[in-house]
Amino acid sequence: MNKFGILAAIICVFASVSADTCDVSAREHLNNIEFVDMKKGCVQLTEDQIKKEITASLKYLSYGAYFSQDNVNRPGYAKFYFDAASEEREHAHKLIEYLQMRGRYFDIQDTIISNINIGQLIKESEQAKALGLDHGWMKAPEPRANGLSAGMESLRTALKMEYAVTESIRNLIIACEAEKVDGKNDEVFNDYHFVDYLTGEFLTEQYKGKRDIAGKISTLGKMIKDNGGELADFLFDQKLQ
Amino acid sequence: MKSIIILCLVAFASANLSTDSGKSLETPCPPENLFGEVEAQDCCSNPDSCVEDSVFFHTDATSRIVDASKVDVYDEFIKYANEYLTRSYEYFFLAAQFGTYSKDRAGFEKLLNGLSDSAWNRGIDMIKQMAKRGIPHRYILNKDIEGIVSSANVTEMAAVAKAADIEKNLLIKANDIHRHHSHASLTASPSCGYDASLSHYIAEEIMEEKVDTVRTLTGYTNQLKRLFKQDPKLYPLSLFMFNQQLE
Ligand SMILES: [Fe+2]
Repeated sequence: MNKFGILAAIICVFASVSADTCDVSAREHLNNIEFVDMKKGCVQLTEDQIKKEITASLKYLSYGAYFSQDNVNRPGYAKFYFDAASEEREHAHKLIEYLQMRGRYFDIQDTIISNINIGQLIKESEQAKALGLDHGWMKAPEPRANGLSAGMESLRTALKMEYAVTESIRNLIIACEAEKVDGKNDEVFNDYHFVDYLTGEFLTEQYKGKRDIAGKISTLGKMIKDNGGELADFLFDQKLQ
Repeated sequence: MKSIIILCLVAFASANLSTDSGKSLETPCPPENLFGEVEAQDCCSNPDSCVEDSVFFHTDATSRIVDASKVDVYDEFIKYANEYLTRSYEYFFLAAQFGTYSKDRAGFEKLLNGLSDSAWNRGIDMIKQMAKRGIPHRYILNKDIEGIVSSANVTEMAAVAKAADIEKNLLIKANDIHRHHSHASLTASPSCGYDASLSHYIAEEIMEEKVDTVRTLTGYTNQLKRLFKQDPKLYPLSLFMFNQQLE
Protein backbone atom coordinates (compact mmCIF):
# COMPACT_ATOMS: atom_id res chain seq x y z
CA MET A 1 0.00 0.00 0.00
CA ASN A 2 1.36 3.37 -1.01
CA LYS A 3 0.93 4.93 2.40
CA PHE A 4 1.74 8.63 2.66
CA GLY A 5 3.58 8.38 -0.61
CA ILE A 6 2.37 11.70 -1.94
CA LEU A 7 3.22 13.59 1.21
CA ALA A 8 6.70 12.05 1.37
CA ALA A 9 7.37 13.07 -2.22
CA ILE A 10 6.31 16.64 -1.50
CA ILE A 11 8.51 16.93 1.55
CA CYS A 12 11.44 15.93 -0.69
CA VAL A 13 10.56 18.73 -3.08
CA PHE A 14 10.68 21.22 -0.21
CA ALA A 15 13.90 19.86 1.18
CA SER A 16 15.69 20.13 -2.16
CA VAL A 17 15.05 23.85 -2.61
CA SER A 18 14.96 26.26 0.27
CA ALA A 19 12.16 28.68 -0.37
CA ASP A 20 10.85 31.61 1.60
CA THR A 21 7.67 30.42 3.15
CA CYS A 22 4.90 32.95 3.14
CA ASP A 23 4.50 32.55 6.90
CA VAL A 24 7.92 33.93 7.65
CA SER A 25 7.38 37.13 5.70
CA ALA A 26 3.94 37.54 7.24
CA ARG A 27 5.40 37.44 10.73
CA GLU A 28 8.19 39.89 9.80
CA HIS A 29 5.73 42.59 8.88
CA LEU A 30 3.69 42.05 12.00
CA ASN A 31 6.71 42.34 14.26
CA ASN A 32 6.39 44.79 17.12
CA ILE A 33 2.71 45.34 16.53
CA GLU A 34 0.88 44.03 19.56
CA PHE A 35 -2.61 43.43 18.31
CA VAL A 36 -3.38 40.12 20.00
CA ASP A 37 -4.65 40.55 23.55
CA MET A 38 -6.33 37.27 24.47
CA LYS A 39 -4.55 35.69 27.43
CA LYS A 40 -2.84 32.32 27.63
CA GLY A 41 -4.80 30.69 30.46
CA CYS A 42 -8.09 31.59 28.82
CA VAL A 43 -6.88 30.19 25.48
CA GLN A 44 -5.81 26.91 27.06
CA LEU A 45 -9.13 26.42 28.79
CA THR A 46 -10.88 27.16 25.49
CA GLU A 47 -8.80 24.43 23.88
CA ASP A 48 -9.91 22.07 26.66
CA GLN A 49 -13.49 23.05 25.97
CA ILE A 50 -13.00 22.18 22.28
CA LYS A 51 -11.94 18.67 23.36
CA LYS A 52 -15.03 18.35 25.54
CA GLU A 53 -17.31 19.38 22.68
CA ILE A 54 -15.70 16.71 20.49
CA THR A 55 -16.14 14.07 23.19
CA ALA A 56 -19.80 15.06 23.55
CA SER A 57 -20.24 14.82 19.75
CA LEU A 58 -18.85 11.28 19.71
CA LYS A 59 -20.91 10.25 22.71
CA TYR A 60 -24.13 11.49 21.12
CA LEU A 61 -23.13 9.71 17.93
CA SER A 62 -22.95 6.43 19.84
CA TYR A 63 -26.41 7.16 21.28
CA GLY A 64 -27.66 7.63 17.71
CA ALA A 65 -26.07 4.34 16.69
CA TYR A 66 -27.68 2.58 19.64
CA PHE A 67 -31.20 3.77 18.83
CA SER A 68 -30.75 2.88 15.14
CA GLN A 69 -30.13 -0.81 15.86
CA ASP A 70 -32.65 -3.31 14.57
CA ASN A 71 -33.36 -4.61 18.08
CA VAL A 72 -33.88 -1.12 19.53
CA ASN A 73 -35.57 0.55 16.56
CA ARG A 74 -36.22 4.08 17.72
CA PRO A 75 -35.66 6.25 14.64
CA GLY A 76 -36.92 9.38 16.40
CA TYR A 77 -34.41 9.13 19.24
CA ALA A 78 -31.69 8.19 16.73
CA LYS A 79 -32.37 11.33 14.71
CA PHE A 80 -32.41 13.45 17.87
CA TYR A 81 -28.96 12.16 18.91
CA PHE A 82 -27.39 12.20 15.44
CA ASP A 83 -28.42 15.85 15.18
CA ALA A 84 -27.03 16.50 18.66
CA ALA A 85 -23.69 14.94 17.60
CA SER A 86 -23.34 17.27 14.62
CA GLU A 87 -24.35 20.21 16.81
CA GLU A 88 -21.56 19.47 19.30
CA ARG A 89 -19.09 19.27 16.44
CA GLU A 90 -20.35 22.67 15.32
CA HIS A 91 -19.73 24.05 18.84
CA ALA A 92 -16.10 22.92 18.62
CA HIS A 93 -15.91 24.66 15.26
CA LYS A 94 -17.34 27.91 16.61
CA LEU A 95 -14.74 27.99 19.39
CA ILE A 96 -11.97 27.44 16.85
CA GLU A 97 -13.32 30.24 14.69
CA TYR A 98 -13.37 32.49 17.71
CA LEU A 99 -9.72 31.75 18.53
CA GLN A 100 -8.84 32.42 14.89
CA MET A 101 -10.52 35.80 15.05
CA ARG A 102 -8.62 36.74 18.19
CA GLY A 103 -5.30 35.60 16.69
CA ARG A 104 -5.01 32.88 19.26
CA TYR A 105 -5.58 29.76 17.23
CA PHE A 106 -2.33 27.86 16.95
CA ASP A 107 -0.20 30.87 17.73
CA ILE A 108 1.50 30.15 21.03
CA GLN A 109 4.25 27.64 21.71
CA ASP A 110 2.58 25.88 24.62
CA THR A 111 -0.63 25.30 22.73
CA ILE A 112 -2.42 21.98 23.22
CA ILE A 113 -4.46 22.36 20.05
CA SER A 114 -1.76 20.76 17.90
CA ASN A 115 -1.59 17.73 20.15
CA ILE A 116 -5.11 16.51 20.52
CA ASN A 117 -5.04 12.74 20.14
CA ILE A 118 -8.10 12.20 17.96
CA GLY A 119 -7.68 8.43 17.79
CA GLN A 120 -7.67 8.38 21.59
CA LEU A 121 -10.84 10.51 21.81
CA ILE A 122 -12.61 8.09 19.47
CA LYS A 123 -11.49 5.04 21.44
CA GLU A 124 -12.40 6.61 24.76
CA SER A 125 -15.88 7.25 23.47
CA GLU A 126 -16.42 3.48 23.57
CA GLN A 127 -16.03 3.48 27.32
CA ALA A 128 -19.07 3.76 29.53
CA LYS A 129 -17.48 6.72 31.30
CA ALA A 130 -17.00 9.91 29.31
CA LEU A 131 -17.14 13.48 30.59
CA GLY A 132 -17.28 11.95 34.09
CA LEU A 133 -20.68 10.38 33.46
CA ASP A 134 -22.00 6.85 33.38
CA HIS A 135 -23.25 5.91 29.93
CA GLY A 136 -23.65 2.25 30.86
CA TRP A 137 -27.41 2.33 30.21
CA MET A 138 -26.74 1.26 26.62
CA LYS A 139 -25.53 -2.12 27.82
CA ALA A 140 -28.44 -2.69 30.23
CA PRO A 141 -30.64 -5.72 29.55
CA GLU A 142 -34.23 -5.34 28.38
CA PRO A 143 -36.68 -4.93 29.94
CA ARG A 144 -35.16 -2.35 32.24
CA ALA A 145 -35.49 -2.17 36.00
CA ASN A 146 -38.12 0.14 37.51
CA GLY A 147 -40.04 0.26 34.25
CA LEU A 148 -37.52 2.75 32.84
CA SER A 149 -37.04 2.83 29.11
CA ALA A 150 -33.81 3.16 27.13
CA GLY A 151 -35.14 6.48 25.86
CA MET A 152 -35.66 7.78 29.38
CA GLU A 153 -32.23 6.64 30.51
CA SER A 154 -30.58 8.24 27.48
CA LEU A 155 -32.36 11.55 28.07
CA ARG A 156 -31.41 11.55 31.73
CA THR A 157 -27.74 10.99 30.87
CA ALA A 158 -27.92 13.62 28.13
CA LEU A 159 -29.25 16.17 30.61
CA LYS A 160 -26.42 15.37 33.03
CA MET A 161 -23.95 15.70 30.15
CA GLU A 162 -25.35 19.11 29.20
CA TYR A 163 -25.21 20.18 32.83
CA ALA A 164 -21.52 19.22 32.98
CA VAL A 165 -20.80 21.10 29.75
CA THR A 166 -22.64 24.18 31.06
CA GLU A 167 -20.54 24.13 34.23
CA SER A 168 -17.43 23.82 32.14
CA ILE A 169 -18.40 26.88 30.08
CA ARG A 170 -19.20 28.82 33.25
CA ASN A 171 -15.72 27.99 34.59
CA LEU A 172 -14.23 29.12 31.29
CA ILE A 173 -16.06 32.44 31.65
CA ILE A 174 -14.83 32.86 35.22
CA ALA A 175 -11.25 32.24 34.11
CA CYS A 176 -11.46 34.60 31.15
CA GLU A 177 -13.01 37.54 32.96
CA ALA A 178 -10.18 37.94 35.44
CA GLU A 179 -6.87 36.53 34.23
CA LYS A 180 -3.71 37.78 35.92
CA VAL A 181 -1.48 39.62 33.48
CA ASP A 182 2.01 38.09 33.23
CA GLY A 183 4.64 39.95 35.19
CA LYS A 184 2.16 42.30 36.83
CA ASN A 185 1.00 41.34 40.29
CA ASP A 186 -2.22 43.20 40.70
CA GLU A 187 -3.34 43.64 37.13
CA VAL A 188 -6.11 41.40 35.75
CA PHE A 189 -7.38 41.26 32.19
CA ASN A 190 -11.11 40.99 31.64
CA ASP A 191 -11.81 39.49 28.24
CA TYR A 192 -15.14 41.27 27.87
CA HIS A 193 -15.81 40.21 24.32
CA PHE A 194 -15.14 36.50 24.77
CA VAL A 195 -17.07 36.43 28.02
CA ASP A 196 -19.98 38.11 26.26
CA TYR A 197 -19.73 35.67 23.35
CA LEU A 198 -19.65 32.65 25.65
CA THR A 199 -22.55 33.99 27.68
CA GLY A 200 -24.69 35.11 24.77
CA GLU A 201 -24.03 32.31 22.29
CA PHE A 202 -22.94 29.27 24.25
CA LEU A 203 -24.81 29.59 27.51
CA THR A 204 -28.00 30.55 25.71
CA GLU A 205 -27.75 27.40 23.67
CA GLN A 206 -26.92 25.31 26.75
CA TYR A 207 -29.91 26.58 28.73
CA LYS A 208 -32.27 26.16 25.79
CA GLY A 209 -30.92 22.64 25.20
CA LYS A 210 -31.29 21.69 28.84
CA ARG A 211 -34.84 23.02 28.96
CA ASP A 212 -35.65 20.96 25.87
CA ILE A 213 -34.26 17.72 27.30
CA ALA A 214 -35.80 18.32 30.73
CA GLY A 215 -39.17 18.89 29.06
CA LYS A 216 -38.81 15.63 27.15
CA ILE A 217 -37.94 13.76 30.36
CA SER A 218 -40.95 15.19 32.10
CA THR A 219 -43.37 14.40 29.25
CA LEU A 220 -42.00 10.91 28.88
CA GLY A 221 -42.04 10.48 32.66
CA LYS A 222 -45.75 11.22 32.76
CA MET A 223 -46.31 8.65 30.01
CA ILE A 224 -44.22 6.03 31.80
CA LYS A 225 -46.31 6.26 34.99
CA ASP A 226 -47.01 2.75 36.28
CA ASN A 227 -44.28 0.99 34.36
CA GLY A 228 -45.43 1.49 30.77
CA GLY A 229 -41.87 2.36 29.73
CA GLU A 230 -41.72 0.46 26.48
CA LEU A 231 -45.01 1.71 25.07
CA ALA A 232 -44.27 5.25 26.24
CA ASP A 233 -40.93 5.10 24.42
CA PHE A 234 -42.55 3.74 21.29
CA LEU A 235 -45.06 6.59 21.21
CA PHE A 236 -42.59 9.30 22.21
CA ASP A 237 -40.20 8.13 19.51
CA GLN A 238 -42.84 8.97 16.90
CA LYS A 239 -43.02 12.49 18.24
CA LEU A 240 -39.25 12.80 17.74
CA GLN A 241 -39.27 11.57 14.14
CA MET B 1 -60.99 -3.86 20.37
CA LYS B 2 -58.13 -1.44 19.85
CA SER B 3 -58.23 -0.29 23.45
CA ILE B 4 -58.15 -3.85 24.70
CA ILE B 5 -55.01 -4.56 22.75
CA ILE B 6 -53.33 -1.38 24.00
CA LEU B 7 -54.36 -2.11 27.58
CA CYS B 8 -52.99 -5.55 27.14
CA LEU B 9 -49.71 -4.27 25.73
CA VAL B 10 -49.31 -1.88 28.67
CA ALA B 11 -49.79 -4.64 31.18
CA PHE B 12 -47.60 -6.85 29.11
CA ALA B 13 -44.78 -4.28 29.20
CA SER B 14 -45.15 -4.04 32.95
CA ALA B 15 -45.04 -7.77 33.48
CA ASN B 16 -41.73 -9.11 34.65
CA LEU B 17 -40.95 -10.72 31.35
CA SER B 18 -37.46 -12.05 30.92
CA THR B 19 -35.93 -12.02 27.46
CA ASP B 20 -34.12 -15.02 26.21
CA SER B 21 -32.20 -13.91 23.17
CA GLY B 22 -30.20 -17.13 22.95
CA LYS B 23 -33.13 -19.09 21.59
CA SER B 24 -33.95 -19.29 17.93
CA LEU B 25 -37.27 -18.67 16.26
CA GLU B 26 -38.12 -22.35 16.63
CA THR B 27 -38.53 -21.95 20.39
CA PRO B 28 -41.73 -23.75 21.36
CA CYS B 29 -44.66 -21.84 22.77
CA PRO B 30 -43.93 -20.66 26.29
CA PRO B 31 -45.75 -22.12 29.27
CA GLU B 32 -48.35 -19.74 30.61
CA ASN B 33 -46.62 -18.98 33.89
CA LEU B 34 -43.60 -17.54 32.09
CA PHE B 35 -45.12 -14.07 32.23
CA GLY B 36 -45.18 -14.08 36.00
CA GLU B 37 -47.63 -12.15 38.10
CA VAL B 38 -49.90 -9.98 36.02
CA GLU B 39 -52.18 -7.55 37.82
CA ALA B 40 -54.77 -6.83 35.13
CA GLN B 41 -57.57 -9.22 34.35
CA ASP B 42 -59.11 -10.77 31.22
CA CYS B 43 -56.92 -11.21 28.20
CA CYS B 44 -53.99 -9.63 29.99
CA SER B 45 -53.59 -12.52 32.36
CA ASN B 46 -52.65 -14.52 29.29
CA PRO B 47 -51.16 -12.40 26.51
CA ASP B 48 -51.22 -15.43 24.21
CA SER B 49 -54.98 -15.13 23.99
CA CYS B 50 -54.90 -11.68 22.40
CA VAL B 51 -51.50 -11.60 20.71
CA GLU B 52 -50.98 -14.46 18.35
CA ASP B 53 -47.30 -13.70 17.81
CA SER B 54 -46.29 -14.48 21.39
CA VAL B 55 -43.85 -17.07 20.15
CA PHE B 56 -41.66 -14.22 18.86
CA PHE B 57 -41.45 -12.48 22.23
CA HIS B 58 -38.56 -14.60 23.37
CA THR B 59 -36.02 -13.63 20.80
CA ASP B 60 -34.89 -10.51 18.97
CA ALA B 61 -35.49 -10.49 15.26
CA THR B 62 -32.38 -9.46 13.38
CA SER B 63 -31.73 -8.11 9.91
CA ARG B 64 -28.19 -9.51 10.04
CA ILE B 65 -27.48 -12.28 7.54
CA VAL B 66 -24.81 -14.05 9.58
CA ASP B 67 -25.39 -15.39 13.07
CA ALA B 68 -24.26 -13.56 16.18
CA SER B 69 -21.02 -15.50 16.61
CA LYS B 70 -19.90 -14.52 13.09
CA VAL B 71 -20.65 -10.83 13.34
CA ASP B 72 -16.93 -10.04 13.48
CA VAL B 73 -16.75 -10.46 9.71
CA TYR B 74 -17.95 -6.85 9.71
CA ASP B 75 -15.22 -5.53 12.01
CA GLU B 76 -13.21 -4.09 9.12
CA PHE B 77 -16.23 -2.16 7.93
CA ILE B 78 -16.82 -0.80 11.46
CA LYS B 79 -13.19 0.26 11.79
CA TYR B 80 -13.41 1.84 8.38
CA ALA B 81 -16.47 3.87 9.40
CA ASN B 82 -14.69 5.02 12.55
CA GLU B 83 -11.72 6.03 10.46
CA TYR B 84 -14.00 8.53 8.69
CA LEU B 85 -14.88 10.09 12.04
CA THR B 86 -11.21 10.26 12.98
CA ARG B 87 -10.20 11.74 9.63
CA SER B 88 -13.05 14.19 9.86
CA TYR B 89 -11.56 15.67 13.04
CA GLU B 90 -8.06 15.50 11.56
CA TYR B 91 -9.22 17.63 8.60
CA PHE B 92 -11.11 19.84 11.03
CA PHE B 93 -7.89 20.93 12.75
CA LEU B 94 -5.89 20.95 9.54
CA ALA B 95 -8.42 23.36 8.01
CA ALA B 96 -8.42 25.59 11.07
CA GLN B 97 -4.74 26.47 10.61
CA PHE B 98 -5.51 28.15 7.31
CA GLY B 99 -8.03 30.43 8.98
CA THR B 100 -5.42 32.06 11.20
CA TYR B 101 -4.21 35.57 10.46
CA SER B 102 -0.70 34.34 9.77
CA LYS B 103 -1.76 31.82 7.12
CA ASP B 104 -4.91 33.59 5.94
CA ARG B 105 -5.77 31.11 3.18
CA ALA B 106 -9.55 30.93 3.14
CA GLY B 107 -9.51 28.76 0.00
CA PHE B 108 -7.41 26.03 1.57
CA GLU B 109 -9.49 26.26 4.73
CA LYS B 110 -12.66 25.79 2.69
CA LEU B 111 -11.22 22.82 0.80
CA LEU B 112 -10.19 21.05 4.01
CA ASN B 113 -13.38 21.90 5.87
CA GLY B 114 -15.31 20.41 2.97
CA LEU B 115 -13.33 17.18 3.35
CA SER B 116 -13.99 17.24 7.08
CA ASP B 117 -17.74 17.63 6.57
CA SER B 118 -18.00 14.88 4.00
CA ALA B 119 -15.96 12.47 6.15
CA TRP B 120 -18.24 13.21 9.12
CA ASN B 121 -21.42 12.72 7.11
CA ARG B 122 -20.07 9.56 5.52
CA GLY B 123 -19.12 8.16 8.95
CA ILE B 124 -22.66 8.74 10.21
CA ASP B 125 -24.15 7.27 7.06
CA MET B 126 -22.02 4.14 7.47
CA ILE B 127 -23.24 3.80 11.07
CA LYS B 128 -26.81 4.00 9.74
CA GLN B 129 -25.93 1.41 7.13
CA MET B 130 -24.67 -0.91 9.89
CA ALA B 131 -27.88 -0.40 11.85
CA LYS B 132 -29.85 -1.27 8.73
CA ARG B 133 -27.91 -4.51 8.40
CA GLY B 134 -28.04 -5.52 12.07
CA ILE B 135 -24.36 -4.84 12.70
CA PRO B 136 -23.79 -3.23 16.12
CA HIS B 137 -21.47 -0.23 16.04
CA ARG B 138 -18.46 0.01 18.39
CA TYR B 139 -15.63 2.53 18.51
CA ILE B 140 -12.89 0.20 17.31
CA LEU B 141 -10.00 1.51 15.23
CA ASN B 142 -7.27 0.17 13.01
CA LYS B 143 -3.81 0.36 14.60
CA ASP B 144 -2.57 2.89 12.03
CA ILE B 145 -5.40 5.27 12.93
CA GLU B 146 -5.12 5.11 16.71
CA GLY B 147 -2.25 7.58 16.91
CA ILE B 148 -3.74 10.35 14.78
CA VAL B 149 -3.32 13.75 16.42
CA SER B 150 -4.43 17.22 15.41
CA SER B 151 -1.65 18.54 13.23
CA ALA B 152 1.09 21.04 13.89
CA ASN B 153 2.17 23.76 11.48
CA VAL B 154 1.67 22.51 7.92
CA THR B 155 2.30 24.32 4.63
CA GLU B 156 -0.34 24.67 1.93
CA MET B 157 1.24 22.08 -0.33
CA ALA B 158 1.87 19.63 2.51
CA ALA B 159 -1.76 19.95 3.62
CA VAL B 160 -3.09 19.23 0.14
CA ALA B 161 -0.65 16.35 -0.29
CA LYS B 162 -1.65 14.97 3.09
CA ALA B 163 -5.32 15.17 2.13
CA ALA B 164 -4.56 13.39 -1.15
CA ASP B 165 -2.78 10.65 0.80
CA ILE B 166 -5.62 10.25 3.27
CA GLU B 167 -8.27 10.06 0.56
CA LYS B 168 -6.24 7.65 -1.53
CA ASN B 169 -5.70 5.49 1.53
CA LEU B 170 -9.45 5.47 2.18
CA LEU B 171 -10.04 4.46 -1.43
CA ILE B 172 -7.54 1.61 -1.15
CA LYS B 173 -9.15 0.41 2.09
CA ALA B 174 -12.61 0.59 0.50
CA ASN B 175 -11.25 -1.59 -2.28
CA ASP B 176 -9.91 -4.11 0.26
CA ILE B 177 -13.15 -4.24 2.25
CA HIS B 178 -15.13 -4.56 -0.96
CA ARG B 179 -13.01 -7.57 -1.89
CA HIS B 180 -13.54 -9.08 1.56
CA HIS B 181 -17.32 -8.84 1.16
CA SER B 182 -17.55 -9.81 -2.50
CA HIS B 183 -15.35 -12.85 -2.75
CA ALA B 184 -16.92 -16.25 -2.25
CA SER B 185 -17.96 -19.40 -4.00
CA LEU B 186 -21.49 -20.75 -4.17
CA THR B 187 -20.79 -23.31 -1.46
CA ALA B 188 -18.83 -21.04 0.88
CA SER B 189 -20.31 -20.41 4.31
CA PRO B 190 -21.83 -16.94 4.84
CA SER B 191 -19.45 -16.48 7.75
CA CYS B 192 -16.63 -15.83 5.27
CA GLY B 193 -18.11 -12.36 4.92
CA TYR B 194 -19.64 -12.40 1.47
CA ASP B 195 -22.21 -9.60 1.42
CA ALA B 196 -23.34 -8.32 -1.97
CA SER B 197 -25.44 -5.54 -0.50
CA LEU B 198 -22.60 -4.14 1.55
CA SER B 199 -20.22 -4.40 -1.41
CA HIS B 200 -22.72 -2.50 -3.46
CA TYR B 201 -22.92 0.22 -0.80
CA ILE B 202 -19.12 0.47 -0.69
CA ALA B 203 -18.77 0.69 -4.45
CA GLU B 204 -21.67 3.01 -5.17
CA GLU B 205 -21.88 5.27 -2.13
CA ILE B 206 -18.24 5.43 -1.08
CA MET B 207 -15.91 4.65 -3.93
CA GLU B 208 -17.65 6.50 -6.72
CA GLU B 209 -17.30 9.78 -4.88
CA LYS B 210 -13.88 8.94 -3.48
CA VAL B 211 -12.40 8.35 -6.92
CA ASP B 212 -13.26 11.94 -7.87
CA THR B 213 -11.89 13.36 -4.61
CA VAL B 214 -8.60 11.53 -5.01
CA ARG B 215 -8.26 12.76 -8.58
CA THR B 216 -9.01 16.36 -7.61
CA LEU B 217 -6.52 16.34 -4.74
CA THR B 218 -3.70 14.65 -6.62
CA GLY B 219 -4.29 17.18 -9.40
CA TYR B 220 -3.98 20.06 -6.94
CA THR B 221 -0.85 18.56 -5.41
CA ASN B 222 0.86 18.18 -8.76
CA GLN B 223 -0.16 21.66 -9.84
CA LEU B 224 1.31 23.20 -6.69
CA LYS B 225 4.45 21.12 -7.06
CA ARG B 226 5.02 22.33 -10.62
CA LEU B 227 4.37 25.93 -9.67
CA PHE B 228 6.94 25.61 -6.93
CA LYS B 229 9.57 23.68 -8.87
CA GLN B 230 9.59 25.78 -11.99
CA ASP B 231 9.27 29.21 -10.38
CA PRO B 232 10.28 28.97 -6.71
CA LYS B 233 10.65 32.75 -6.47
CA LEU B 234 7.11 33.28 -7.67
CA TYR B 235 5.72 30.54 -5.46
CA PRO B 236 4.27 32.91 -2.82
CA LEU B 237 2.32 34.64 -5.58
CA SER B 238 1.32 31.30 -7.06
CA LEU B 239 -0.07 30.27 -3.67
CA PHE B 240 -2.03 33.50 -3.47
CA MET B 241 -3.61 32.80 -6.86
CA PHE B 242 -4.20 29.15 -6.07
CA ASN B 243 -5.92 30.05 -2.82
CA GLN B 244 -8.21 32.43 -4.71
CA GLN B 245 -9.13 29.66 -7.09
CA LEU B 246 -10.13 27.46 -4.16
CA GLU B 247 -12.24 30.12 -2.49
FE1 LIG C 1 -21.87 21.86 23.15
